[in-house]
Amino acid sequence: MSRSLVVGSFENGEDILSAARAARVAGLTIVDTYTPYAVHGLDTAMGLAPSRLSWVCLVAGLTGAILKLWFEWWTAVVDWPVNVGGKPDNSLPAFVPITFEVMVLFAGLATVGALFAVARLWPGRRRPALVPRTTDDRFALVIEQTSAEETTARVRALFEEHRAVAVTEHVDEGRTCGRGQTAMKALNVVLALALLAAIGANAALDRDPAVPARDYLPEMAYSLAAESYAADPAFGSGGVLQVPPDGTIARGASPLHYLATPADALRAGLELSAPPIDQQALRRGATLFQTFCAICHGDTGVGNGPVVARGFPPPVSLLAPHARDMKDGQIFHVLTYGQLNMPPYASQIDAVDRWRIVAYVRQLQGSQQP
Amino acid sequence: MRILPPGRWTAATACAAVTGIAAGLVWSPDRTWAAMLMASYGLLGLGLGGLFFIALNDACGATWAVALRRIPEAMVSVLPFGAAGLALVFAIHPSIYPWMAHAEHFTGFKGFWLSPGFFLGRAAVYVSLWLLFATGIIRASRAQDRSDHPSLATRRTALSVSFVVVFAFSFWLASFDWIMSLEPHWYSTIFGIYNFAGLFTSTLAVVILLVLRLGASGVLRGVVRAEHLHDLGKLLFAFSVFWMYIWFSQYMLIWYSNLPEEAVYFVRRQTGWWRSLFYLNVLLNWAVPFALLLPKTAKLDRRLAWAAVVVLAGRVLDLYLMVRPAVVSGGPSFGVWEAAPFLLAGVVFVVVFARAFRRASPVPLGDPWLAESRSYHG
Ligand code: HEC
Repeated sequence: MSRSLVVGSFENGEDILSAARAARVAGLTIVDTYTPYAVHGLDTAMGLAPSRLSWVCLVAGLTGAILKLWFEWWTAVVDWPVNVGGKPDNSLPAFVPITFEVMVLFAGLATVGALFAVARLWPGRRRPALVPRTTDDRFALVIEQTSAEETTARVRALFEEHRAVAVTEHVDEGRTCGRGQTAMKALNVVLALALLAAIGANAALDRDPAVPARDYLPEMAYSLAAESYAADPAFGSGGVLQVPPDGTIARGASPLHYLATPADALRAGLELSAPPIDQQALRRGATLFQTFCAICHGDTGVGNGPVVARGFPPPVSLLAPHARDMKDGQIFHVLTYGQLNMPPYASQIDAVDRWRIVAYVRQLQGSQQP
Repeated sequence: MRILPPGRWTAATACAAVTGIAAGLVWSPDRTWAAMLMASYGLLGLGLGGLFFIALNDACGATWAVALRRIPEAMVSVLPFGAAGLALVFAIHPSIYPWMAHAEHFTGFKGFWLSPGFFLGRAAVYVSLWLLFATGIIRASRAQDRSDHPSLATRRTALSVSFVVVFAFSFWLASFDWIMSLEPHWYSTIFGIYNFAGLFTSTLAVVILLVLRLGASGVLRGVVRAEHLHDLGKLLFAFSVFWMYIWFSQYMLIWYSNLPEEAVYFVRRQTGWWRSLFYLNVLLNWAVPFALLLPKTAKLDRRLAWAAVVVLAGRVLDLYLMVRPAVVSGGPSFGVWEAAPFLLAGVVFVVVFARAFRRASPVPLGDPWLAESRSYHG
């Protein structure tokens, strides 16, 4: 279907605003306007209805937020509950930032996508510019000639009254291909080739590992302080890192003289005894047990933690007679040195806390039947 | 033109408020002084916020609000009154700050920072800086009414740009000094922005209410346009969201790391009845204005005024939550002792604003951008 169009070009936003208003008053059909930037107020002047894009934005944003909230809850509460610092699994504050981001992502992408769809813009689609200078410094108002009597002269007069700098006539045949298109295609090919060439050149570069690359901010790579494992110019022998004298122990540490063997576990059971534990320490023991042990042993100690549900060989029940008969010191030894499939915890939990966990394990055993 | 309610009503309200405060100082000094601190700080915030509003527009070359500029300009006049209220608290009841009362003792840099002399000196520096900029910027604006010399506009821009920077640092520190040091062991580096968010949101709410009032029945009829209200509404909406963003940033980091010396602040505000107020704060300052102002049309009808009123109520609650739990132990309470200082601050605001507004022409006649502001399309 073809229609004939009259296009007026204006020099500034004010002129096209007044021309558009006048055209509406005169009952002319405004097809569209083309401007180098968004001219405020032009939508009302053209008589456009309020944009429905804001609804797309609202609905997509809410959808994103709800989906993400649900997903956070599902991962953190249903599928893989992990105790983080003793916080409840379902902790809203932790979900808020990512929910917010996903909401913005959904809303943004959906709005831009909807805009493209409504404006029928997609890759490869080209519309010839009626007035090429609208991409630079011209403002074009396009009017459709509806009937034969609608003489161009009338539109022309209206345009000129509003200081139009040029008035042209076009026939729109609904074609979407313009001249210039071949040139653009060629340009795309050239750009793609240039990109390939850049990638190829980069791969072909001879990177000699012996030649240092250029350093930005060298202070970060080369420390002023001596490197721990370098030779020490002052001591001559050895290195910067000196060997501590025999029998040195770390501050605050109390050494345990055991090996990670079942025999030593039994010996620990005879030699070590638990320090006195009060209610608060017991509560701390419970929190630590939830944090470190429950993933395998389960909340109650029967050995049904979430990791086991996913195929980890189930640990023996802590409520079984074998564990009940273990001495406190022996359990302490298990926590410290590990036992078969169970890893050692000495590096993650200090001795005082390990004793608290032992006390909590005892409490679990006391309060439940195997 | 009438901005003020009839004189005898104003006088009667002021008398009632002053009597309330006097009685409060006798019967319940702690509560009254706490409310004095909040009300003065809030009043000062409106003056400072007005100045920041002008400076922000000038600094980024925004012209839309030029026609309304005399409103924030007149608001700046309340700044010294807010400062006077604070001075009263510092002078007569310094023990509102535990470190002043020697209930807490600090050594090293903190001890030096929180020493009475330095504290008062700093306060004097902040307020003088603000007053200096206020005088400079407003004088240049008034001078434009009489002369169209272009250097006046340049001078305003230069002053405004410098003020924005000075304001950022000084107000940040002021909020640390005057509010955060009520609980001197607790600290939060974002506290300054949080206070700024409240200050500017409440300023916008007051500007909107004044624009509506003066535009509907007063001298600005015909000057205030739908475009202005729409833009002010967008700003209020944006800054209410900004307040929420900063509120949450402060809350979440403290909640997550859960360190006792940081968490006390929120623990105290989430025990007992404080908990409901804690959530009400979020409702008033963000959720309600957000829902109200979301549609475009809402910024052009009565919902704008309602949102502004809700935000102002939220501001009072926000100040109350910052100050009160730190000063008076026990649950929340709001009665005459709290209402009187706020009432007085309100009366002072209205009277001082009305006088200041009448002193100059209601629109900045000499501003080269006045015509633009009166005809722009939003
Ligand atoms: C990675 C999973 C895992 C974790 C985490 C774990 N354990 Fe174990 N634990 C095991 C397994 C598997 C065994 C059984 C080892 C064996 O076969 O002897 C075991 C054995 C034990 C035993 C000895 C029981 C017996 O009857 O021999 C005790 C006591 C024990 N665990 C306590 C703990 C405590 C306390 C923690 C937390 C600090 C903990 N475990 C954390 C997997 C784990």
